[in-house]
Amino acid sequence: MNWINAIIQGVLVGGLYAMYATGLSVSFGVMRLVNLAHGDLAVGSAFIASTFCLATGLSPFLAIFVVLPLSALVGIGLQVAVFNRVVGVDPSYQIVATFGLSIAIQNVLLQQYAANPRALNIGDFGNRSLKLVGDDVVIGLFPLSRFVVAVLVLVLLSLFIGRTRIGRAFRATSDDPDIARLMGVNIRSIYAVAFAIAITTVALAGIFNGMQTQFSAADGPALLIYAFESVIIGGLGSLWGTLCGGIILGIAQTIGAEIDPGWKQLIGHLVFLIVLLVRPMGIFGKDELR
Amino acid sequence: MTSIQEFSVSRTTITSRICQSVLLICVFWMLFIASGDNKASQGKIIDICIFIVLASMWNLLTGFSGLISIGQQAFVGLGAYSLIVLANGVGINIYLAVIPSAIIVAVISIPLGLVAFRLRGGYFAIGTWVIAEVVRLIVKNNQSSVIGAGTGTSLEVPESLKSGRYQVTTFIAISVVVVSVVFVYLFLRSRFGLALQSVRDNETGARSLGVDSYRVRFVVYIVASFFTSLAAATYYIKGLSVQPDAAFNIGSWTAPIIVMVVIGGIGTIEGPIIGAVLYYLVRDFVSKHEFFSDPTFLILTGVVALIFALFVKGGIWGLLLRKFPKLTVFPVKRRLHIENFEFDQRGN
Repeated sequence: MNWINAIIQGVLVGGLYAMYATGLSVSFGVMRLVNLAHGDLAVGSAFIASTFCLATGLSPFLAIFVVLPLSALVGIGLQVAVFNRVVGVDPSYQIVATFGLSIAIQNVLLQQYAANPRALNIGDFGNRSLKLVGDDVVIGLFPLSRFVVAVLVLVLLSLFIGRTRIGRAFRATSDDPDIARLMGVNIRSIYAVAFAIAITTVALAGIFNGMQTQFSAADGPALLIYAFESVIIGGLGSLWGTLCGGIILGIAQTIGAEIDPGWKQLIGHLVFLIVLLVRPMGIFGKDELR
Repeated sequence: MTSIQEFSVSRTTITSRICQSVLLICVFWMLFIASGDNKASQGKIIDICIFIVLASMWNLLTGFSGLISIGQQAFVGLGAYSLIVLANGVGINIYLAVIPSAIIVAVISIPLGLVAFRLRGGYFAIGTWVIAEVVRLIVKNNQSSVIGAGTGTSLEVPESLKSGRYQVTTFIAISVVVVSVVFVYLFLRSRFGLALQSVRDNETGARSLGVDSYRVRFVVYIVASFFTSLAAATYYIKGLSVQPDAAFNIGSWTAPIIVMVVIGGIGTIEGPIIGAVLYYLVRDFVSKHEFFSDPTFLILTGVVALIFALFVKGGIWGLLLRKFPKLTVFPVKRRLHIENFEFDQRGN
């Protein structure tokens, strides 16, 4: 029964990983941008939510409605100040710039909040669970609802990209920014929208993560790696692939942890490397990686 | 009408000869300190030499080959642990174990590279990081007494080698830095170096001219991991104690390396050397002042890297070159001299 529980936990955590990965996938898909500060933005949002809750005494669920618009604004600001300057240039400058940003954010958080881990307290809701098959298989109510929200976000996003005018501009820009510009697409505003989506989804994921586990200033890089692995396992350019990638990574980690607590991350990484060797375009990807 | 009979092609210039002589004097000065008894200065020389090597190798990967690695800590850690295995485990003399441990790491880098090379560009970068994490976790989960799992272990220095360890290590560090820089210089001047830079500048173009871009880059990847671990092994003869979380730490190795190269000037041989020395001097100065706590210094490092990557792409060396276009220490470009005219490859 432990194994079934582990797999269920893995699937539910996978939803969270997919939410981390969505922003990475969108910003790479639309802008060819690899943002190494992605995970730090999630951690930063969780800290802001925690500050908000401590100051006002309100529930973290209400904090979401404050933090998300705020992070969308921060995202547009970052896009204008930093990312527009590194889109389309030599990727090494992109990596260095976002790596510098990542180090700066991590240490600002470390200085502001010290090295102590924090958590977002959601009270009784965090402890409730559904019991299946007698009492053996347990599904936490909060992880389940988090998974549902993650799937919902992906559904909305794929409808947005597939069905709306801006979504069409997204796809056009992704295929060929120069031609898209000739056809009257305002590339800069497309980039700003794409980045706002990237940062809001990752902020939501960061807050959801903080509602269940403790987080600290140095967590960003690990979250970036999980997001990246989910994207690559699932295949670039496929949101549903990313969800499957996140779930596969989540299951690999919980099974690893079941074997030996020290192996949680290792097994996840190894599954990622195996997928990379056997099917470098990812499970749902059509093209070779670019 | 000008006849183009009186022409010559050269690489070295008067400035490059002067600068190289100055560098040679610096090397002799370091050797002089190495033979002395001042452990504090020797420690500083070791650190600077190690960081020049690490920065030059990251620059060879990223600046000259377009292979953006943020996983160099993998080779630092592997170099440290190969040294531990050879010295503590097998019982080889600690000084003689340095080169074999780098060779071991170069061999290990082949399968690691096969995985990393599945990814391109920015995703290659994160891939190298994941690989470094995998290596760290494997080492951390290894319970054998030689490796020492998560708590790490220390290099055992036999009684006979205890005196003079700093002196010998400083000599090794100076040799490693000289060999690496000269190697990078000659490598880039060779046929292979030309192929390498052509792949970076235009991969399709280079391939159409018959350059095997995969092979060229792979060779550089192995070479860089060899020299990175050579420097790391030297560093740990000084440092002695090795823990997986420290030796495989991206923040204490790859982050400063990247900052050094970007400040100095990416894609030049001189840049990483300038950047490494400057970074070391600033860090040394800052560590004496209370105001610059660790996080403050790291915030500044991050912001400086960001600003250089956005606005000062050529780094300090690039700024100097703009002021003094003929300045060069390690000339890689060819210059054409025709009677009273002088051109370099860009036709200036």
